[in-house]
Amino acid sequence: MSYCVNCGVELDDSAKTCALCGTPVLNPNKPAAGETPYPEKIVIPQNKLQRYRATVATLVMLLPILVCIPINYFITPGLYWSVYVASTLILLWIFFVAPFLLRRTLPHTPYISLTLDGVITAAYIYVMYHYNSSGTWFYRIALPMVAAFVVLGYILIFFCQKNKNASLIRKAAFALAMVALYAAATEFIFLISMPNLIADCVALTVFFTTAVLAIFLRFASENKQFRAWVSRKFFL
Amino acid sequence: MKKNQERLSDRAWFRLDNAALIFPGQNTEQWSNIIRISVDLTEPIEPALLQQAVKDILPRFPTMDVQLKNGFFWYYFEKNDNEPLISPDRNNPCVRIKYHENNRFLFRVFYYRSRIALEAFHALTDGYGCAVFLNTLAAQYLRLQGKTIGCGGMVLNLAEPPKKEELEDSFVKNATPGATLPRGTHKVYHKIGEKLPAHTTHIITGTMPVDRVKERAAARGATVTEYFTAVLLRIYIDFQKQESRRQKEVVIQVPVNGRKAFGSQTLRNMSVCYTVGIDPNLGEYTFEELVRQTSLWLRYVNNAKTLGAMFNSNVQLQTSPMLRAIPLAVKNLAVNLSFHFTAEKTNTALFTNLGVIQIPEEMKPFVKNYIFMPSPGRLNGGRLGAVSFDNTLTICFADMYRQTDVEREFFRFLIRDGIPVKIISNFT
Repeated sequence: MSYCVNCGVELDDSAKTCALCGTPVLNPNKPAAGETPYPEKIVIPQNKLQRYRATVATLVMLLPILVCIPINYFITPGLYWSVYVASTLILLWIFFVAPFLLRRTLPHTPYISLTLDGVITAAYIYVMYHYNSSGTWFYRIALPMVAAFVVLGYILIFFCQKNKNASLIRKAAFALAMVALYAAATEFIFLISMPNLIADCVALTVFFTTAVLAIFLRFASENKQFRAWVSRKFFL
Repeated sequence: MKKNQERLSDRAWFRLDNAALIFPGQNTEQWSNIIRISVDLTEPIEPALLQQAVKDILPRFPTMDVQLKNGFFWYYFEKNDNEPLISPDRNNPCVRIKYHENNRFLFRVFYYRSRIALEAFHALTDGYGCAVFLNTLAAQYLRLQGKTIGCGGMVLNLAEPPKKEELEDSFVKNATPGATLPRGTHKVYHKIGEKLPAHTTHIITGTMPVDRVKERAAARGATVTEYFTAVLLRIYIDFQKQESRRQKEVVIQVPVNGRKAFGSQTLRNMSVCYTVGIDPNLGEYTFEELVRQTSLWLRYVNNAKTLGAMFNSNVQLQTSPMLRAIPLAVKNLAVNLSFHFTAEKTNTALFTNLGVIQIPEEMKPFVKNYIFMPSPGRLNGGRLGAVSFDNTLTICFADMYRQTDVEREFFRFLIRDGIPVKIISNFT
């Protein structure tokens, strides 16, 4: 048996430090050995309620779709209003409910979620385009913009997963850089597909602001003085 | 599929007892309301035998063999036809209970090395009821190993059918009609600290000889409970002085077993909480004064009259026709809100002393010691559970905070006072 030199309490044979004060146990005659008084395995209970809620939400959202389509078909044939109801609900479902059902069941869940979000957004815009508008703007502008968003999103997720321990400032800098790139991509897409349109370069303003901020934060994140100042000034 | 399931009309059901009513309403992720008591035997546990022992003793405990169901106005217990499962112990005991998990049982049985641990939802029973269940379980387990062990004390006779007195709601029976006592509602001191991740608990258990503790307590004219409560008061008063200028009252909650006062034999809840408070604004208190205040106060309030009045203030809420007719969901909301705003905020820490474990003589050689652990609260107040067996007294400190200041000061105080302490912890 060892005693803590600091607290004076007797310690368990397996203890490497004192549980009360953290002082290491140094007993040359009796090194720490034996099984610990409590098992080391931590069992975190699953939250089944989340999936349950997601299932309920799914059913609730499915109901209007199932009701509207027959009504549309039998009572107002020729009009396609139920398509809007259905597509909006599916969009909302993919955005807000699907992530809870996907969790823990598939690998690369964030990528899958983002892909689904991109696909459903494109599909939703297509529905609007198909029934309400003419021209080719969907293929020339909407689709590339959604694609650019998804690709930049992949890069951001990859960065955050790769650098899990990176500081918040560093992650914020990277996210801002992605926003800047997205603004640039928007400007580029408009330039190519609608050269005749007189644009007022809103995206460029966003690009420059975020780019400057991203570069500043990128270098500030490595500056110890700056971080010390931030953590002192803005502690909560 | 459900072969041995009885028809609904034949299945037993009963109401929750008066104290149990509040627990399902405030059962949350952080606030588990689970009591844990564990016994260390002398040999490693054989899981198969333990499983059999649980199955054997369950018919003797109709109050444990239940599932919780929602009625329209109240919760109720219904007999559970499933089989209880046992599992290896974990580092983070007393995690919240979900009613559909664990075959719908509201208690769990764990084993680790030579330890059997029982965790029960407070709605089922209190510390005493848990101790009886655990001891009966341990005795049956030892019998299955081939040892001859009788009954007596906290080991029930499995051959007898369950007695009617064991199933009664003693609160309703012993409440004094018309008598009420005000509840404490003002905010008291809580230590600041850093919380651990969800579902993890910090446990520090100190083991000490009973005779030394009794001697030190008796030197000040106090009982063991009074002595430890005074030590806690001392520590929290000192911490508050370091932390802030505005001094709030320091209040220790001391649950008391109501069975002795009324000769009740119930295996359901039968404990209520007294509080001992000291206002540091009144001036400096020496330790001797604190012990004196504590013991005078506890002796003054601890009698059947006060208990009857305390029971009645709770029973009134259950019997009032207005409140009874409120739907369960609204009741739950109200319970939750009232716990959010009062409950833990009205006491700094909790010290519960289960007392001496009484088991048959022939069982004693196979038992080393017991640990009694109340579930940790949301706020940074130590929850201490004390239990003694033979000449060892264990005090288990449980909270969800990283800091160990209070524990350290508590056990150092005992060492300085001449009580040798041995520490074990789940954090190493």
